[in-house]
Amino acid sequence: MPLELFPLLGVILLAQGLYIFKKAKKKGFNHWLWGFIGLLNAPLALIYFLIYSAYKRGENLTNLLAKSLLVGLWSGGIMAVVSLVGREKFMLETEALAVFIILGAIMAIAGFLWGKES
Amino acid sequence: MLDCKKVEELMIDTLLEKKPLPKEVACHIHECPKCQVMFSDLKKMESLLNEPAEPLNTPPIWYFSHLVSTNKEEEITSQETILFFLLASVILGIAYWVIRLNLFGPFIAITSFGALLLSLVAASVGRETRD
Repeated sequence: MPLELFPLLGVILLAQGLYIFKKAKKKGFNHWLWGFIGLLNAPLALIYFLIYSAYKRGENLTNLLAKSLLVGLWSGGIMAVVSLVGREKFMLETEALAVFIILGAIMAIAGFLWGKES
Repeated sequence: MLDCKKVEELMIDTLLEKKPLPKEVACHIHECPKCQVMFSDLKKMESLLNEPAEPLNTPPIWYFSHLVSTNKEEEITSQETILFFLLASVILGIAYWVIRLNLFGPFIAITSFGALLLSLVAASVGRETRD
């Protein structure tokens, strides 16, 4: 990863960590632990937190995970098609394609769970 | 025969109980100028008492205690937020050096796994209080 992208990564991690920290405090979870987790990784930490939050709300976890997986598969598929179409135009390597697909799927799951949360 | 003192008492009673004025009292008021003044004053007071009370603009006492507790909570949160930013700057500092040393790949893998493990720890710690 180029060093120029570090400020962007910092902003994303900070915003995510702060969001999780405040939400966890509001919900009465261990906000320090969750805040720390939120600073480690994006957006997996957010997904973990949102799944845990849904579990605490008493939602059907199996149903939620199945739907999240479905959303992830759909988004991954769409990203795969978009990446393959623009592969030659943007000269994408196979590794970049895989990253795009995985990132698209994970982001879609995070978005889906975030929507459920709010 | 009714005297002024007795008439005054009867006037107040009828005013408070909202009864019609007795005939003897009415006759006495008609003849006595002092009691006429008293009667007109009592009538004014009655009209004032019958006016609808203005709604209270002062909020109830629980609202003030709620405000105080909210402010206290916000104060704690802002202090904690500052501490959180300090923690974040330490972690971001580590991330900066990791990227500089070209170790971003292993860093992503380690933090993903760490976040998963810590989430499991957090979930197991707070498991007993599910809604």
